[in-house]
Amino acid sequence: MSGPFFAQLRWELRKLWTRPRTYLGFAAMFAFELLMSLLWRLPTVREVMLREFWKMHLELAQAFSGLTSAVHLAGESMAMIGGLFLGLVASDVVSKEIEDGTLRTLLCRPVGRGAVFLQKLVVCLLYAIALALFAGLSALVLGLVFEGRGPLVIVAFSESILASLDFRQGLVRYLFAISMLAGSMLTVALMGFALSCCGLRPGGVIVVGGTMLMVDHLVRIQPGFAAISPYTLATRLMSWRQVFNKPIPWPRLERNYGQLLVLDLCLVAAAWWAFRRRDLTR
Amino acid sequence: MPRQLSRFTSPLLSLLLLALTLPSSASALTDFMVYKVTVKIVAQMDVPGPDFDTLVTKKLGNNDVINLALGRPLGTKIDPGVVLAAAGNFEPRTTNSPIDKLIVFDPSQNGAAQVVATVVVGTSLTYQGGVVSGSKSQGSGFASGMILDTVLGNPAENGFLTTPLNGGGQGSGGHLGVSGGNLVFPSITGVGSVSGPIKFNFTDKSGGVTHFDGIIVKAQGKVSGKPIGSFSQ
Repeated sequence: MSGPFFAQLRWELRKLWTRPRTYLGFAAMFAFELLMSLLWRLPTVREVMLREFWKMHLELAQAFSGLTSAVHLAGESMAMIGGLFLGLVASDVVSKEIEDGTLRTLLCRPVGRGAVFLQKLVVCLLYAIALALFAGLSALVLGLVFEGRGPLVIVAFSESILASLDFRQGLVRYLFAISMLAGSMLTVALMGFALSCCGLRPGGVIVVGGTMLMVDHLVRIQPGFAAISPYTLATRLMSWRQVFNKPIPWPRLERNYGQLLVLDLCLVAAAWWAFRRRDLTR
Repeated sequence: MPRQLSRFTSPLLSLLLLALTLPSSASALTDFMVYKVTVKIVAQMDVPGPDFDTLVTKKLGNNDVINLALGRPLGTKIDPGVVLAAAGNFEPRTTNSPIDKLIVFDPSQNGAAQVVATVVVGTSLTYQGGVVSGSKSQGSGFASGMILDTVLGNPAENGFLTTPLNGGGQGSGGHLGVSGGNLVFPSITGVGSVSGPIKFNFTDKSGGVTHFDGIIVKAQGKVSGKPIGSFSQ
């Protein structure tokens, strides 16, 4: 790690910064969260949602606070939108540069392939962290604007989450949860990055990565697959919600994030294997 | 910009269409709440001898039940966090198909995988009870159930064999409700006793396998406190 490495890293970040597509993820995320917040204000939607969403015959109107809605907004926006745009940026960082031929010109310079790989990897991971933090903070702002202060109430029987926290404690846990959401999304970014390094075209990275995530999500939510659901990737990616439990189930978090870390390392190894062997002159 | 957009809009649209065709979420599943349980079982078996019979008495506590349900020798150290627990969904009713069960629960796992083993399932439940105050429900009942065959580990040497059970008990608990805007998860208290035959295999310290086939002399179970978890199945 020397001066030239960081100089190149700054250029990679600048390239990311100047691409218009980089901002589409943030815009789409905000638009999705805003749309959901507005839809949740419709009386008919709200009535059904409070009844069906919680699966309890209780009047939970008070409990549907800004924090509660923020948890759902952040989770759903990252699950539905985040994966696609992480795939988009990951495809921009490697496969689009291969397609456009800019990577070849970069490698003509006296730079190590390992350093280029590492810089692109860091850029992808930073984007994933930024997108997740943005999703979390924008969901919090929208939640507080539309629903106001109040306790954080999360009931998800299938995920073993039974949480009711006052506003102050809920806010602290929410901020902690968002940092863990960013950690979860690193895996999604690495999936896109690995596919990007494996020679898929930019559109292919989004479709293949998105399909993998969607199939995994489908298995997680299908009643018929209830026995398999605990072993899906999505279950691990949603582990950040476990921090709302009281007490926090640390053994489960350690297990899930440990498995994600192993997957991350495998994806980095696969990406490096493909990147260093890839014929860039085609 | 439009050209850039068009490069990814078609795959994006395909994915969104795929997402719209996804079926709705898990509505056919039953949601269970899980509470920690303490059991004490005293069982006796008659062993005929050449002159006189011998009555062998065996006491089983929580750890013993967990070990037998996992097909492991009695005395094996239990993994941290793994507990014996009761799972149910709080729908008081008289039914021939109760869903309540006694399970080995591992909270470090996800969702239904937290249920490491099912020890006892209910086969009928007769229940009377109801709301006795604004904050409390109370009731009593009797039930029949079945100890299930152990399927994990080495059940031929350590494990339960299927036997029917009968029992009764009483319990009380708070309501699942909202107080001051906060969701209150109900604490419950319940005590019950069980009778019936019991069969299990266990390996003693000398390595010999005993096929215990006896009668429950005394068995008590207690459940109390707030839920320690939940799952859908």
